[in-house]
Amino acid sequence: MSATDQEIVEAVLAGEQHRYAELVERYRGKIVSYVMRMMGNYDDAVDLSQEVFLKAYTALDSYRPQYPFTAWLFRIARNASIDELRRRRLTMVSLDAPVATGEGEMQRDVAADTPGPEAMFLEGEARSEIEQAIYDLPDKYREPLVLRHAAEMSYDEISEALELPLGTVKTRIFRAREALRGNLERSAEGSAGPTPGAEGR
Amino acid sequence: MNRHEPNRDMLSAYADGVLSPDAVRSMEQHLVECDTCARALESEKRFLTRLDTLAHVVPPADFVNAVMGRVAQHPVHRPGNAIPWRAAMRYGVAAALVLAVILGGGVTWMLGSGTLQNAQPGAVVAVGISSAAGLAAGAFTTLRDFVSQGFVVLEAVAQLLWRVTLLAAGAGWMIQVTLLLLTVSLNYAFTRLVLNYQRRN
Repeated sequence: MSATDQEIVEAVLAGEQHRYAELVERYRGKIVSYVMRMMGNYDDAVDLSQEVFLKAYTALDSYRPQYPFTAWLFRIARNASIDELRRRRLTMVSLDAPVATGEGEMQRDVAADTPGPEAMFLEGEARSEIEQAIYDLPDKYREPLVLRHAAEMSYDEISEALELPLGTVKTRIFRAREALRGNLERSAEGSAGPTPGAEGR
Repeated sequence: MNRHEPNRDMLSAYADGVLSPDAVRSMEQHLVECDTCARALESEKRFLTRLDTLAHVVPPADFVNAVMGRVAQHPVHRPGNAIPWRAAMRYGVAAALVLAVILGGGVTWMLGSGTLQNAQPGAVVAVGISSAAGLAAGAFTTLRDFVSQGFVVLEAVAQLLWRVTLLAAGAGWMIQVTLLLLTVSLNYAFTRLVLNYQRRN
């Protein structure tokens, strides 16, 4: 019988640093999947996931054992993903902003080396239709859906991680599925013929 | 009877295993009788299976080693370093109660003795602002951090007592404003000190 999350955390806090590897091993797939679905790029998702585990280690003494460890860990992953997406959007904005020169303001003529999430999502390997459709969802629907299906978390864990009531989590997941189904159906119809403008049922 | 629009939320919740036992029983009874819903359920299950492919992001083989290599560069957690948040919470609540009693008592005393009515308006405003600043600093620190909250609330009590005494002794508004600046700086320095101590340990 393997140790529970709480038992491992206690051991790590008692000085057994190497035991932290068990938690990394246990949650690496879920965290990388979650971050990947939030960021849209595999290499960035792996780097950011490593940061998440590092942050969780340094902050481990602030984890309160009466709450699920997964919810706490995913809260760190969520904040890291949101910060990173925000940072990228800011980078894009600042590159777009005019720069003051001796001859007045000028536009920068440079290419951003950190493409925005939308661009990254489309670049490189071909994305499946469902991945693109998920990325098109508003954040408030995408997050719980990704936690449910990419991170395979329970509704209770999602409620803890997002600090939302259980009912709200369920409603958002159901709405997200509905919207996703609609988008996929429209996309399938669109590839076969003209896309109807009205909301599908 | 079978001609109705399937309730997608209910089917989604059923397929996802989050319906209550009573709702599951009534759903199963209905599914036996209703072909429309039975077909919609099959479609829902296929859709959820498709969504579950989102979880299949495989981290690189060296992921755990990479994380643990970086973890090893951080100090090992030691017993006793964990934040004693329960004790800190009790400490904070006790200090807040003491503050409430002193605040209430102080204001009553000032009103009864005529100190407040006779004080210079500037001094009264300065006491109000500095007390509010102390409390706001306490509330802000409480949100960020568990241990320092007790200390900050106690510090706010001490500041308040000090100012009320000076006000009663007839201190002018210049002295009160100087004290305000001094104590806000001290408050900031103190908070940084506590946070740095926690981070180091």
